[in-house]
Amino acid sequence: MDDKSEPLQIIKKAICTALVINMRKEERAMEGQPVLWFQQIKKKFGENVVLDGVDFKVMPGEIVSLVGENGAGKSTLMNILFGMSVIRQTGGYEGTIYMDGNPLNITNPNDAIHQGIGMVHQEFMLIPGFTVEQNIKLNREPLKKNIFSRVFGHSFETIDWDAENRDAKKALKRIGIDVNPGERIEQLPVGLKQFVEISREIDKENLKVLIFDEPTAVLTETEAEKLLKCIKSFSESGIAVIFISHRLDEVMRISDKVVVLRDGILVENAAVTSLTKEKIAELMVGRKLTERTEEYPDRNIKEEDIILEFRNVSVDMPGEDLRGFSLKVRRGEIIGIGGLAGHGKMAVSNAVSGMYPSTGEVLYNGKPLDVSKTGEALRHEIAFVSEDRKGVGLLLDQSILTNIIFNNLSLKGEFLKSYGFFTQIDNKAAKKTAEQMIEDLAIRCTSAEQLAGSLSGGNQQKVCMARALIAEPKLLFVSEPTRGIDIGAKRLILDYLLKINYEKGITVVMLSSELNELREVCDRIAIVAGGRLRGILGPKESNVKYALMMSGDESVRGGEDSYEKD
Amino acid sequence: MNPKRTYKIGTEVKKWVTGNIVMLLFITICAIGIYFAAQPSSYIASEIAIRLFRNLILILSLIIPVWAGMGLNFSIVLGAMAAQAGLIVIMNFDMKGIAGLVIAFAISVPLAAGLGILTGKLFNKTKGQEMITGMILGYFAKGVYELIFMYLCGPVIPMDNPQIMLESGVGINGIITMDASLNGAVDKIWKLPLDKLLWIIFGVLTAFLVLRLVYGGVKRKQADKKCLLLLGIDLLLFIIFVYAIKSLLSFQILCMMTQVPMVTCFLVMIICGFIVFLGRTKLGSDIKAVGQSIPIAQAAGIAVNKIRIIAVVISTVIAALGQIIYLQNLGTFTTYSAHEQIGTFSIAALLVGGASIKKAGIGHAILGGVLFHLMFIVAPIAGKNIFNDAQIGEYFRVFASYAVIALALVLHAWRIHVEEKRKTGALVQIGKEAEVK
Repeated sequence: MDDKSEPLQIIKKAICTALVINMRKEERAMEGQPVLWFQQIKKKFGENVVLDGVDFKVMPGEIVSLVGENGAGKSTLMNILFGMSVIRQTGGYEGTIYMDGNPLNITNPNDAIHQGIGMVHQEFMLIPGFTVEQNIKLNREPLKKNIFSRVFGHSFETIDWDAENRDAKKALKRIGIDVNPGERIEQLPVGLKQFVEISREIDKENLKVLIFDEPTAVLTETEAEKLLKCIKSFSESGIAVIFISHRLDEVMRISDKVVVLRDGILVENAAVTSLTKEKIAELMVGRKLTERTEEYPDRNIKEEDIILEFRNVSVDMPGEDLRGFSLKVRRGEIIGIGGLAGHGKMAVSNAVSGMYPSTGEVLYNGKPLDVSKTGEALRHEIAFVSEDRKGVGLLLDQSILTNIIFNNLSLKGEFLKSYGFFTQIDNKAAKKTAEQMIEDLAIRCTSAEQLAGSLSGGNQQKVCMARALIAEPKLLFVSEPTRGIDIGAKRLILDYLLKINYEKGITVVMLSSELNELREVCDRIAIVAGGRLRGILGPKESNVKYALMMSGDESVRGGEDSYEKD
Repeated sequence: MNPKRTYKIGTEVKKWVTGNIVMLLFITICAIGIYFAAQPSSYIASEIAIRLFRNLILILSLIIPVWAGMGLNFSIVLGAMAAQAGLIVIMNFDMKGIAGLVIAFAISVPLAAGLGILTGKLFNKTKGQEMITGMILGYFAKGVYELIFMYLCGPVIPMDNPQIMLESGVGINGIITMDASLNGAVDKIWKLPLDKLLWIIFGVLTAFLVLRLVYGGVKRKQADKKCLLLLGIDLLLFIIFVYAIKSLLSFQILCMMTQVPMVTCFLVMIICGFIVFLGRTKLGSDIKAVGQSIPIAQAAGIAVNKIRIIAVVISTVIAALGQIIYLQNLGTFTTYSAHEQIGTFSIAALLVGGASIKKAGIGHAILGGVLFHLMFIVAPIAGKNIFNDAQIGEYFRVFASYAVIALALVLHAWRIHVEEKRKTGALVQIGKEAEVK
């Protein structure tokens, strides 16, 4: 080694290191190390692409709002982050999630929890029979050792009640909630449960990212206000927040950044300051309307000719509660019931079919309908096509023929030959009807004897429609008619709805999460959000108006008989 | 009193009555039975003491799966089979006395645990249908059990003890009679008459409460009200007891006749202690969380399937111990049917004590054990006195145990229905509020 050059080299090295360190510092200040980075996340369910290259970063202490319609991929993304078993069972995902610069390998919810990811769920993940403190410390109970635990391992350590109580109190105090930690969850009002759930997440010491999945959906305004303050305070203490909400007002108020997903594609990732509520709504919906393939001439729909009327109907349907719903359905029209999943629109048809307990009045042709009896509506020329084709709609291991004639058989006793006490199915008549329907609806099958379970989704849906139609209804409820169906079949089913409406004069009530198809087919569209009717819009109203109304925004009102009472 | 308060008490009473209807019904039946059987109280008490300790461990084995939300574990029959297998093994090798029973238990533990793991795995595949699965599994296991002991023992499994084998050398005897050293080995170690036991219980209880009051008072700086109340009740009962033992002849006879098998009693207490202890551990908390809601427990990171398997294993192992205690008391057992009705009867007893599919505790097990055996004791004589035929009483008690299970299941379904209705009621309220708005 050359003696002279040595000091020089040392100096050189020192300068270089200093420069590098400095650069890194600057880099960090400018760019910062994201606490969470979703890098090119792709996910398919079978052939259906639900996430396509979603890529965004979450900084420490940042509040990122994740918005999008139902089915945009928000929950799938969160399920991936949480290592839910659904993801693995359906073939995993592509892309990487980085946490603090390191790729995350999460295979179950426990891993996520250990990594410092917390989640406040939309439907409460609290054990009703446990106390507040037990729920807060669930699976993270402070433990005390004892003789047995030394022998049999830590499962036998006893729970330190005092410490549990202390921790719970601390967590509750931190979010400013006055609850007795010894109270049982089932006795708490709904609004407080949400806060208990937040306390549970806050109590986790290494919490870095907290996800809120529609946290304000069940809260009153003051409670929501409190919650938003809470979220702000977390972000100030350095916890990153992912906020999933349909309430765009709240999104605008608290977020630093907004990420908009549409059909699994990230369409916007920008600071909230550069966006407006209307812009976000537009981005969420996005699509242009397609035109009807066939125009039908004007039908003679009279405003005062009411075929079905809901008067202050409330339905107790798990996950789809509907409250105080009043609506008049005009004879001969196609009316759409739109809204996001879980907001109560599916309950509308169930209020009439009697599948779930309901209160209030349903008038059919001005006469009250006894909806407490299932089947009562069917006897009144009302037919239903269920959204749950495989569960309620079809007898999968029976032939198409049986499926088509089943309701009429059991309810009206048609297709039956009677021999005194015994009756037998009139196969000839049944077959003739079934084959006619197969032809009308272009059901693709080998014969009427083919099993319904072996048909494709679209053809199954057609069988459901056929069954509803041979009862010759005056009023038809169709729920999610195009769910899980390919585009060609979608078109066919929507056209058929238009056709029967025009040719047979059947009034159609169509419940769908897909706003576009509603707007294609319907004369009027009632929007249900948060379990209430928000208003009625025409099919040509703007995207923004629809999106805002579906998010429960109070500023948008529309329609003649919204909020109507009589 | 204002009317609002009385109304509240009314609903509370109604709630309690509907919640404990099985128990109340059974108390009524027992009361009628006792009246008509007109047996001396000393006889009834002594019989109960024997039968209660004989069966209590089996009943206690049902508690943990109820916590885990798996309902009533019909598959404890498998534990009973493991116990019988253990007993057959020791008798084949002519092992004697208490040591023999300990070895029998040692053999049955891994067997019961293994069967418990398999049962648990099956239950995890049939979540929500554990009860029917357990019942059918019991029948299936019976077939395997019969295959092993009826055909394989002898030709395949080398066994040649003529005491338990059939003369042909293939299969085990239909009835196995334990020798004098095994018969009642655990019970015989130490027996105490009831009065002496009660003296000890009162002594220990009073000492415990006084100590807790004194030390607890120092620690918390104020008297423990609950403790004080318990001490009061304790002393009151003690005075009644002293009075009775000194002046009531029938009570004196009752106490003398009632010999309590102390070692069995200790074993029962150990199992009770274990269940209480488990309830306070991490494992117990996990089991209860899983029982309340599987998805929530899963989201909290609890290994749901593992916890459920552990619950079944604990239950099966306790059941094996229970069956050994049960059989040593009887001294003889029918090889191919001794396990058959263990599940049904234990479950019926637990339900009679006020337990349900969702809730069970030690108190339910003990009270249920007492009531159920009370009926078993009085039913034949009561049947003879009322209908002039003891058979009717015999029929009745078997019928009653199945009826109890059926009734409990119906009540469970009904309670869910009421709960739903109540929710709809709340919905009406919400609907009305919405209207006002």
